[in-house]
Amino acid sequence: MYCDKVIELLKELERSREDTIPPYNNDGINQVLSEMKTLDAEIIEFLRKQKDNLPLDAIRLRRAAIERNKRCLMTYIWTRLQRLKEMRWEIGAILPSDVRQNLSQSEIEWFNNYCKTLVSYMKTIGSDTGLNLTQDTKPPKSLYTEVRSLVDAGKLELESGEVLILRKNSQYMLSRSQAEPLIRQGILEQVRQ
Amino acid sequence: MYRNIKPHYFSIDAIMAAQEKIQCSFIKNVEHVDFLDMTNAEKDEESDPKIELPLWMIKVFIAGKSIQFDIPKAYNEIYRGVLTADANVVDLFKLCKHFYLFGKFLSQLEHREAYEVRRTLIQTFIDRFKQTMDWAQNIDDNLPCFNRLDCLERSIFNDARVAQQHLNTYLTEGSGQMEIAAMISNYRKRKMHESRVLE
Repeated sequence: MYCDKVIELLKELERSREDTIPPYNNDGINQVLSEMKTLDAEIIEFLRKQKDNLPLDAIRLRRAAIERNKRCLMTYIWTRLQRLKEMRWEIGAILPSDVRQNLSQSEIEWFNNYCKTLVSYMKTIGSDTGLNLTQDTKPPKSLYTEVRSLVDAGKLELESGEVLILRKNSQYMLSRSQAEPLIRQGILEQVRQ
Repeated sequence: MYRNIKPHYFSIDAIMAAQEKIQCSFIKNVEHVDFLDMTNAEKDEESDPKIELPLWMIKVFIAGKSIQFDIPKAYNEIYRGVLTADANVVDLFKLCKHFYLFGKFLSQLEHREAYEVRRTLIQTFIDRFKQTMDWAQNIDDNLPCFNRLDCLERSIFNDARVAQQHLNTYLTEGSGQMEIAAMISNYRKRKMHESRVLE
């Protein structure tokens, strides 16, 4: 029956967890595209062969199938992009390598462009240095915060120029803006008050 | 992330709902569609041939006035009676994965029972909503209940759980605590699981 392949694609996407991106199914997409081309050729064939007494239902059905294939393919790509976009905000500009493997070439390109656009937008707002929108997602209560390092992360250069060596299980007092990205990445942990 | 419950062009749920099958029979002959060709199939003289087609195809044939369809089992008179009597005991997911969405699409087609279907949908949602919220907020191990919800209810349920957890954290620990991003912690758990499986 028409459109079965594209539904398989979407099911694959639906089954995966919402915070992951499954591998880009290039084969599946090409199969759907060739199905669409066949349908289109069939419609043109009908129009050419019979001038009157057209099999209207058959043509309508094929047209609907083409439209539906298009909608499903676009949904496939759109859903993946939504997840990718969310990853930019959650994980940051550098994606883990196994996420990157699952992306298509154009998706990687899109992600790079998205990062660029976001950065250049953040430069234009706020005072002269710009405003980092990914920071302070929750209202801050103090400028400095006490953190504990969860791993031997190595050197960290502070805003003042000093170099701090992060060792596992030791505690530091850091400025909030510097600590937040590291906390979000799971390197530091905020010491509970 | 803001979640859109309403069906839109890119909504997977809406697409899947339109893929649900309906039993129907043709009034007119439809030619040149291979998979509808019944000439090879065994002919049953007594009853008219019935076939199951997905909803979006039915829509096409209805526009051409060449089809008649039956209301699917989950929405027929018997089940409407069951849902009206007590909607809370029904396993909606087993009945129909996209119960509300499919029902909504179905009631938009021309059928004499469309009005009743619509009314039942709304009443069912109202009747079940209280129970859904109750489960989401109060039970810790709620997988058995969760399995009985339809897709729309599931997303409401998940949102409600997250909101409840946020509220609990706020009440016990106050605000302003910075935490590891959910995506990264899930990612790590997955990695840990994968490496354990490999070992």
